[in-house]
Amino acid sequence: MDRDELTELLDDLQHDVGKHMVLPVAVLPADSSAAVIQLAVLRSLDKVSIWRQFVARHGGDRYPTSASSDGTLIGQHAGIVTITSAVDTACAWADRSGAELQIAAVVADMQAVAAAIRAARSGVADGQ
Amino acid sequence: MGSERQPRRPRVLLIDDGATYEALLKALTDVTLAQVDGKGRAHDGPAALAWLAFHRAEVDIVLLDVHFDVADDRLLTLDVAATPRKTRRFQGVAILREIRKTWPDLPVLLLTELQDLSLAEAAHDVSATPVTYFLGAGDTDALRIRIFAALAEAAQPLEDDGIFWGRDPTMRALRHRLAVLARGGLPVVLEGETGTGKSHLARLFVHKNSGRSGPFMALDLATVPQELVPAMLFGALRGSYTGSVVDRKGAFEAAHRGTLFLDEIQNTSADVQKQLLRVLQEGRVQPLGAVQEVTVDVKLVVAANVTLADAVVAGRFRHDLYMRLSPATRVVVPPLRARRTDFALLMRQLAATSATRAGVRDLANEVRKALNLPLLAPLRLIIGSDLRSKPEAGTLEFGLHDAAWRTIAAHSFPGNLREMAMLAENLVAFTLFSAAEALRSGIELSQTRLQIDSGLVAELLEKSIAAPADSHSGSSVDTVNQFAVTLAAGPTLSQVAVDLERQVMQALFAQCNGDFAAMAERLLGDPQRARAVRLRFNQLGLSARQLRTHA
Repeated sequence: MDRDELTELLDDLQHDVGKHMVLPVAVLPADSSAAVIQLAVLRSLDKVSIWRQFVARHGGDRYPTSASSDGTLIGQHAGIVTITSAVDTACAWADRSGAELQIAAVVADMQAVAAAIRAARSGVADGQ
Repeated sequence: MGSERQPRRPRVLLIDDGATYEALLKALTDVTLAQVDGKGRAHDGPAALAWLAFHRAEVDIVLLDVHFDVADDRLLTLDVAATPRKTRRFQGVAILREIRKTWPDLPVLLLTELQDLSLAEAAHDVSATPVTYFLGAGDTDALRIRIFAALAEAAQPLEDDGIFWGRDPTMRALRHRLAVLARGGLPVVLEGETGTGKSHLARLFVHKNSGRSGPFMALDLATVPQELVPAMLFGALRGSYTGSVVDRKGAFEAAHRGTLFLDEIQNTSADVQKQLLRVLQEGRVQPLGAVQEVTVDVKLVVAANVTLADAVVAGRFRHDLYMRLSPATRVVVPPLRARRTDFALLMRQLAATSATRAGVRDLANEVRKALNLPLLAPLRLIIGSDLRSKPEAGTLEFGLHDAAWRTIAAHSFPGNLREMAMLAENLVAFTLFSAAEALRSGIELSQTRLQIDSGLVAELLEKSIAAPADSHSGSSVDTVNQFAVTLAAGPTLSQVAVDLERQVMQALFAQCNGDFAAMAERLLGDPQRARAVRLRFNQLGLSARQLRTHA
């Protein structure tokens, strides 16, 4: 996988995460019931499967960086590792319920995924 | 009892391949979603365009997603060289372009992640499109505000306060910015080429919207002898300098509680700059020969036809004065060539108003009389395909054929609005003059639509190209199919030729704002041959992406 291809994949992911994962929860009315929030969270986290599929499919691929001509495993790339960690944190919300489900806190964790993708995208574009 | 009318709920056409935005918009009680085939959205570009062809009048605004995962045969072409993946990712941009072609006035709100880095690649298309906004994945209030702002902006007239704002997004943004700056107490800096209308903006917009009760005063520092500038600006007592026989109020005092417009501020001497700095810091002026200082409350608007920051770097303008002028909010008035979407509107307006000029008015009256038109019959410029329409009754029309219009549309107008106004007036005056001469020779005229001589257009534009450009305008030869190139020796004649071709292609790319269809029209006379131009562009080792990023 070359750098352009990885950049494009990250762009697609960022779009999907922003639109299908963050937005539906972010716009929930503040007085939404726990059941409504839980349903929205579960639906949003469904989209995380895109990421898991991506890592499963491409984690072992290599792509060249400016620092190394033989390439780095995508699964070990610092930016990708950060995204995976942010995804794991967001997914933990799937196991919570009732008063634990605070919209702002859920959204913050989901936005962290989007932020991690942005950071990784910048790094890849810069040849890191 | 007052009964305030509730504004009508905006009618929204949503174009989105998924249901996320539809669910979101349904939750908003203050918008109405248009129904397309029983759904609250059009699924893709072709569906949206087909629906709009019959239902344009039923919507106020389009909300458009960017990324569309739809079948290949439902994708609109983004770029001949774009991969299917890229075409999907930027499908919203392709749809936007198609909407703009047919419904240029329809507001479009582009919905996407605010910090989507990939959009930088499409930023050129997006920024060149009127009324386009980005939505972050934030709260619904942001979306409401964007919708209503887009509608309010679309409702703005093309012209008001004697200023032609047009449809160009840069001018609309500039208007908004100036309206805010006019109200504040800080100075306003206007930068732009000569002829872009900076003094008009200062007088007819900034002063008018400043809410200040005092007068508007203007001083063009390029026309005042350097030795008289301090007296003109700050005032002088009788006998304070040779030839000073009466006490004289300076421009600052005269503009007290009003607005002072200083044109060509970059031309002031170091001494005057020092005094200006003091006035800005303390709000007081000291007339020449006076002991007492005078307090002044003035909204200062300064203009320059160079980039003031460059003058600071070159040591010609004081850094501390520059910082006092609030450079962060400086306004760059775009050159006319950057507002090509407004060319036709402007030419029509300028031609219509040219009849009020003394010489033109008499000629127009002579022709009106011969054609049995009322003396106040309006003048109207008819361009290109509009010539197929029948002449409008009670109007004196001027027909401009396609080829002549293309020449005008491709011209770079180094003299900006002033040059276009002269062109419009000359075209009208010469055409009227020919008609009046024919009438005087006994030839009877029956058509109320006079044809403008295409040769006249070429002749007038050719002569204007020779005009020198000012420092803000870049190369003076950057005009219709004339480019500044550097001839460098190469190992073979062929390589020299390729180098020249590359330079021309690069300059044309900049002139056409990266539009390969426009480049094809200029190079080959056929916009449909964009692909061939793109191919040659790539063969020459040029990258559209890099050039856009660089720009």
